[in-house]
Amino acid sequence: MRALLATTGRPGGPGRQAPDRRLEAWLAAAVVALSVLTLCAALARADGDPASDVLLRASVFYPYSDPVSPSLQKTLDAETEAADRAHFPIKVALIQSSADLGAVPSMFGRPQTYADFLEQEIDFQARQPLLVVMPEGYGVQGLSAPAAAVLASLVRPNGSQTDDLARAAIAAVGALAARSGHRIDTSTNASAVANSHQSVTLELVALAIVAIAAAAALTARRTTGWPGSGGRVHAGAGAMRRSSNAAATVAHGEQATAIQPLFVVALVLTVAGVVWAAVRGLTFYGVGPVEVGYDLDQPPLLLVIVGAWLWYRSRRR
Amino acid sequence: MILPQIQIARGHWLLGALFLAIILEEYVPLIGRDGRPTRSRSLVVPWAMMIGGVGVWVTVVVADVVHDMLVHFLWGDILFAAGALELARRRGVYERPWLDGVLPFTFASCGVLFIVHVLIDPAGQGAQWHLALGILLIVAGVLDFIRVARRQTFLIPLAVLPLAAFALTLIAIPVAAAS
Repeated sequence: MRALLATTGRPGGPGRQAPDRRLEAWLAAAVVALSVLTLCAALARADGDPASDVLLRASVFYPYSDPVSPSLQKTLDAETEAADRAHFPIKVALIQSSADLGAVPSMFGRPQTYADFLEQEIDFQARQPLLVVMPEGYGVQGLSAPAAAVLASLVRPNGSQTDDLARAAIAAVGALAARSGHRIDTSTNASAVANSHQSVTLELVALAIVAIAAAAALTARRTTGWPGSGGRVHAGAGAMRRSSNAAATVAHGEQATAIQPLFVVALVLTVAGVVWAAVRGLTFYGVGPVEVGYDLDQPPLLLVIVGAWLWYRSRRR
Repeated sequence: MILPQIQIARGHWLLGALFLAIILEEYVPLIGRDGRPTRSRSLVVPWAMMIGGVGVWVTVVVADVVHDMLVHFLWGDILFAAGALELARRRGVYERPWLDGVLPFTFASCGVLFIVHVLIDPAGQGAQWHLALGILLIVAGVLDFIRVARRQTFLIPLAVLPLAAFALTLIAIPVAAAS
């Protein structure tokens, strides 16, 4: 506490680089603001409807109370997987009763309202087609107007049983895909394809770790007096650089590294972020101002942002 | 209050990106105009640690599992205290020899808390990943302790590797789980 109080008592010291400190203060303020905004977004969208959790991992949310028959489940799962392979990654929520809506039971009977609500919770990676099926009818999101208009031509589920909802969903997915210009082929074995996205993500991360290790190995040199381990810190002197005889040995006894190690790491991260975004598919990311703002907390772009920050910090001072 | 999985994932990868920026800024050296390697000693690092600590504290408010609340609260304590000490040191108002051990201690103790988290709830979501994350942090803390104690090390500390792996894993695992 004494240390913390002390930090607030002295605004600066001799030899401090004022512009850098001012910039860092602004950056720290920006980080605080972003953190608060992120938290606000999280709280604003907090809810307890189970479909929003299930659809992050699966393509179909099935009702809890009255299970859909296995054969229909298999058919619907195969159809959504085939749609995914046909670049039509639709999510389907079957809502039989208000119990399936968890904390938002008031939306039961209003499929379009719930589709609007649900889409906000699961579209973090990209806007993607969403179909909600209730006994009262359908709700959609993430579709073009002509495709959404197809729903008007579909009949409502024949009943309120879960199997009725599943049959209606199977017909609706096929119709929506066809109207959106995607041909669904359910014959291909999808098991390997379903896991490909996850494996690509992990492989890219492993690649980034190896790249950072390689960058570190390329730039690292064995020294006997790295300034982080020896000399005392002198208050305010030269922006807190340590001074020691060993450090002087590094400076004068060995040739200085030509490339800034931080620059190399920044470059690796930036390239890794761009490659990751490209592999995921640039169609995930919009180019409009709102969409770009929305994309800023996406992991590949976060890597690019971190890389840009380190790039800026790698300038010689 | 129940947070959707995606908000939990988003919180993790934001924290991972922040941590990645911190450790690379802190440990990868700068070569000055005079050819000397120096650590930046940026004030952004302690501020980010304190902000991260507050962020972890906030999760105590929204958590609905007691051991999650406990572990996150202790994480927040450690991060905030370490950030405050580093901030004081870098502003030149507080200096002690043992301050060299603040960051290694922070990494190692946060890693131990990961292990505690898993031991309390071994069947919890992502238990194996939490275990791996804890081990990475403990390894990083030990490596950094060795660097500080021996005062002989590489230009780029070895601890950067497990720390970078920790940060990237923190980013990747929620993405993979949600994909």
